[in-house]
Amino acid sequence: MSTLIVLICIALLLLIIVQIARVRDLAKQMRGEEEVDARNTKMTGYYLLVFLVAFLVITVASMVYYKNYMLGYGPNDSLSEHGGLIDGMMNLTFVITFIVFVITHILLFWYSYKYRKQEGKKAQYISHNNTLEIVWTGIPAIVMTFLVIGGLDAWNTIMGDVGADDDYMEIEANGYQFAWQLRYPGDDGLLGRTNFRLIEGNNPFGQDWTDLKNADDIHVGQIVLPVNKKIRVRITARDVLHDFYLPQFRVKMDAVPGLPTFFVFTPTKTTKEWRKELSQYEEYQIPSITDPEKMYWETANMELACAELCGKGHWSMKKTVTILEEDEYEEWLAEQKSYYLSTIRGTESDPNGNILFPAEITQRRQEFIQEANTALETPEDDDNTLILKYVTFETGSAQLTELSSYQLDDAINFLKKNTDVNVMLKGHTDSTGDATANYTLSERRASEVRSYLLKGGIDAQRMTSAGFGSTVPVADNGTAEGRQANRRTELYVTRGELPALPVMMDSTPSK
Amino acid sequence: MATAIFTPTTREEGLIQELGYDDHFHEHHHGDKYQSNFVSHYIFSMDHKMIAKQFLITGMMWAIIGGLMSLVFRMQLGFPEESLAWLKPVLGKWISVNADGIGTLQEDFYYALVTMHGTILVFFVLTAGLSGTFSNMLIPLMIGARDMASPLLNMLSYWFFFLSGLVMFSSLFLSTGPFAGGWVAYPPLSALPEAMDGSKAGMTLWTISLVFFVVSQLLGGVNYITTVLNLRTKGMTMWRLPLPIWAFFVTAIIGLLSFPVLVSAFFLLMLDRGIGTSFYLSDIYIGGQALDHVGGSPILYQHLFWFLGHPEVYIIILPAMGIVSEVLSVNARKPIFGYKAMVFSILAIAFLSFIVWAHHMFMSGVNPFIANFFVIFTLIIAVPSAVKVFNWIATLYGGSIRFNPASLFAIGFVSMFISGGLTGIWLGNSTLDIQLHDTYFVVAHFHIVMGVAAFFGMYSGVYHWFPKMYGRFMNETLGKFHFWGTLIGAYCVFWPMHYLGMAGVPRRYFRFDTFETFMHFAELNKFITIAAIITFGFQILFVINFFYSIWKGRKLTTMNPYKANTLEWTTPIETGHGNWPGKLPTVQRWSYDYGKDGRDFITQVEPIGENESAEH
Repeated sequence: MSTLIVLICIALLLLIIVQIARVRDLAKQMRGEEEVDARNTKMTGYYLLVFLVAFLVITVASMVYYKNYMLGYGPNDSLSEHGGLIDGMMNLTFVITFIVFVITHILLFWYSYKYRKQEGKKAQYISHNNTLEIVWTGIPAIVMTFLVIGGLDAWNTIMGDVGADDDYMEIEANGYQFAWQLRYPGDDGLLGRTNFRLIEGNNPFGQDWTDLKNADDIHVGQIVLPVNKKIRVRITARDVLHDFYLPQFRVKMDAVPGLPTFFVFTPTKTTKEWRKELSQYEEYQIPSITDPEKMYWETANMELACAELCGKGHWSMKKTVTILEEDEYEEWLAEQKSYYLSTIRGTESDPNGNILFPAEITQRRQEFIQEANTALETPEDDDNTLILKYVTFETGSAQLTELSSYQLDDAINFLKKNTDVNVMLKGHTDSTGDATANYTLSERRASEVRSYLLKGGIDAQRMTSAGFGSTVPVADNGTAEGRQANRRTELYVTRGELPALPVMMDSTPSK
Repeated sequence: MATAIFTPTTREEGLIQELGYDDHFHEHHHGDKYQSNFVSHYIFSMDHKMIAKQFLITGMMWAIIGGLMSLVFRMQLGFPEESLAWLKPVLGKWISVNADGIGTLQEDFYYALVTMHGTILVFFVLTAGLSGTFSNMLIPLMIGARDMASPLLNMLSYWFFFLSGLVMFSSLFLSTGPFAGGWVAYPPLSALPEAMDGSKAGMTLWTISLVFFVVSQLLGGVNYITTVLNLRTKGMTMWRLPLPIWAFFVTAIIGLLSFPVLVSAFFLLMLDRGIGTSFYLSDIYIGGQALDHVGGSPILYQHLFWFLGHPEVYIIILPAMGIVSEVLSVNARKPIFGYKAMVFSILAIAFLSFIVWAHHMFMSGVNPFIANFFVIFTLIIAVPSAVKVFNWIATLYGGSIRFNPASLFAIGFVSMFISGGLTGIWLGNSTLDIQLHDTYFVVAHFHIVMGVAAFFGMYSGVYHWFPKMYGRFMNETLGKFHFWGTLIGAYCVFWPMHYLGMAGVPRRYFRFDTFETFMHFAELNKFITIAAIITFGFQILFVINFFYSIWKGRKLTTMNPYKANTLEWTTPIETGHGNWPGKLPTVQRWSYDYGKDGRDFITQVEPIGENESAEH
């Protein structure tokens, strides 16, 4: 109903305006066109002057009012090293164009007013003036030359890639409908290879896990960067065009599927410093939206946005950007986990079963020492056996694999540290194949381990070894995993006497 | 009929009879078989004047549709919390109404509206509606031709445009909505139906529509060029052409060279969409699967698109410049200042328009090195543009200016062109573009310089030549209302957007409250929306004035109401097919002899006097 009333009102208003206009035109014809025209011309001339003055005044007033939102000014000062170049260039351009704007507008409207049609005044016949044409072709050309040189100088500085001996950090920002995902290079400082065909639920970047540079790459939720460090952002897209846009840092670059782009910048202020600066501006002295207890400037965040139309959620691709001091950043970084090691390692998607990463070895060593100590502290028969999980042999032989050595070295160290401890090495196999052969193999394997420890400097008196074939399974031999668990070398540790070696039993394997 | 004797009633007609060129028009066109009945007169007309009116009125319809669309998305941006449930009867499912009766615009449709607004205004209104109208109307009349070189192609040009509009209009009713990926239609978004609803059938119809549109433009363009080159009447040398004709002529050449590139871009896009080629697509994972496309480049499309896209803005603005030059000169009662400089600047702008396209792509991932060339060429355009502005201002200097809606809009055009053109110096500088690209600063820039300015040129032309089209005047008071409302309104809408842009607010956002950086401007956005609604209201005044005046406007009583020099005012008030009833006029001088030797005006058909200098 109200819509209808509004529509009727608008229609009536239009009708009234039309009627007034009609009457005025009719009146003009009745009163004599010349006279009415002269008056109208005078009025219109004044209106044009009023418009000119109002336009210029409002323009300047609004600039003053919005000064805090203009580039390179106050809270909108740039937060990156190159940003100053852009803001400086912008201010120069602003001054030049504003002067031209004011002069041309004054001339345009002043001439319109001054040279309006007046009784007894005739137009002058001026068709051209070559000197003037040359002057006003030349002046813009010279001004433009300066702007071009200044602009391109800044542009080529800003857009240059990192140099060979630059100290920089590379991160990846990958846009998809509708979010950004971020990848940090980890300890090696290198981002691993990606391939869009490898993208799936647990591999959002399509990282190629066979490229070991990926192993330590970190996926982070929000951008966190150290201050005063050169950052090279590798910008990629998964589906359509996006644009990596950091308004506070004057960074913008399209993300293109199939064509990685980059932008290099150096943050110059930490979030803390920035917030402190914001506190001096009125518009930040309001309650924060995220935390009503605090002032806006206390919670203000730098942001990452998308600046290339990418679909219906284009307006929502937000991440916050936090700039930290170097040490705070290191602290933060230490808390981040490698995506591969925490999510992919050991799952079906992991093609690197035969490779160990230093971090993993460290972790396993710590685990082993802990287990060994626990075994010692609980001297029940069952508990003081620990499985040498990572000691493995080549298939069907007693040849130790290369990867076995670090755990055996751990065992050596452990025995050297605890000189009162004696050990028995127990070999086990799964139930496949001939039982006797298994028995022999297990014995040879246990003995092989013993020799390794012997070579490592452990007194032969402290060690015995025995093979059990497939007689003591710990898991179901019916499954591959079970069989793998059953193929094992055990370390029996005790501070007392070692048990007697088992007697050679009959060859019937236990079920 | 062939022997009918034509009796001249005015001095000009007398001069034409005396000195004109007899092409035996009436012997060829006995009975005027072109316009014998309603259908061939009003619908499938081959008369350039009728086709011009068809372009104009169709363009106006599209302008209303496109304008209303902008109001809907401005409502969303200015009043995101306000219920739009009252639009449900019109927009249907695109407005979703929740349990409390609050209606919100669907994101998909918001983007469809933005896209359609851009496409419609750029192509249908400011290209077809502006250049189509005035090139058709004025070229034959101003150069002294009976009609276009090929009236048939001319008619086809309109009907392809109409067809194009029909296809585009029908796409509004698709269940998945019209195309919504922005008027530039960048792939992969536009190429992949999975990427958004608008890229399904909506995009198919969009491309088909625009291919028809390009056909229309090419048919029109070939015709304009041929007509200007071949059908100029005796004495009408190129250097005597009125400036609008120069502008239309150069515009047509630009269109002829650049539109085919757009079509090829669209064809490759269609192939990518339809039969699985990979011109623009590579390394894409979407909708839960990796696509087979490899080896293409989305940036290739951008090159092809902007190879038209940039000249396109000059296709829009050059005709407006030509119109404004003419209207300012006639109403200031002075020759246009620096006629040759004006022509050369048109040519310079046209040439440069072809080598600046990549300034739309500084941030698109092209090698930053190539920006060096494009920045130079782009900023050079400021030089001929500045020359034009100074010449317009110098034309006003020392004049005796009549303020009518046409001349006011021409003055407004110069103001808009300055305001919008100067920000072009910001954006053309790649360094500033890093921050300003795809922000509201760009929106402010191009709306003022090629949107509003072109509209001002168009209004100026409509008010000025309306008497030639319909034999009546438009209401002057309404026209002045319209002018002030539009001038102030348009600045209120677009000026504040500069501040949004400098603060970094990106364009094409559905709402701004997600980002702390962009959420400061709720009040300003409200202001812009209100200003937009009011400004649109003033355009309705124009539409009312237009249609009212067709039937009820003050009648034209003299052939040359403005005391203008150009040939169109030597034709009868009721200009029939063939334009001049008897001989074709012979041109004796350039078109800008206003105030020469103390005479208010000297028409082009008047021979140079004995004591008169032919120089100007």
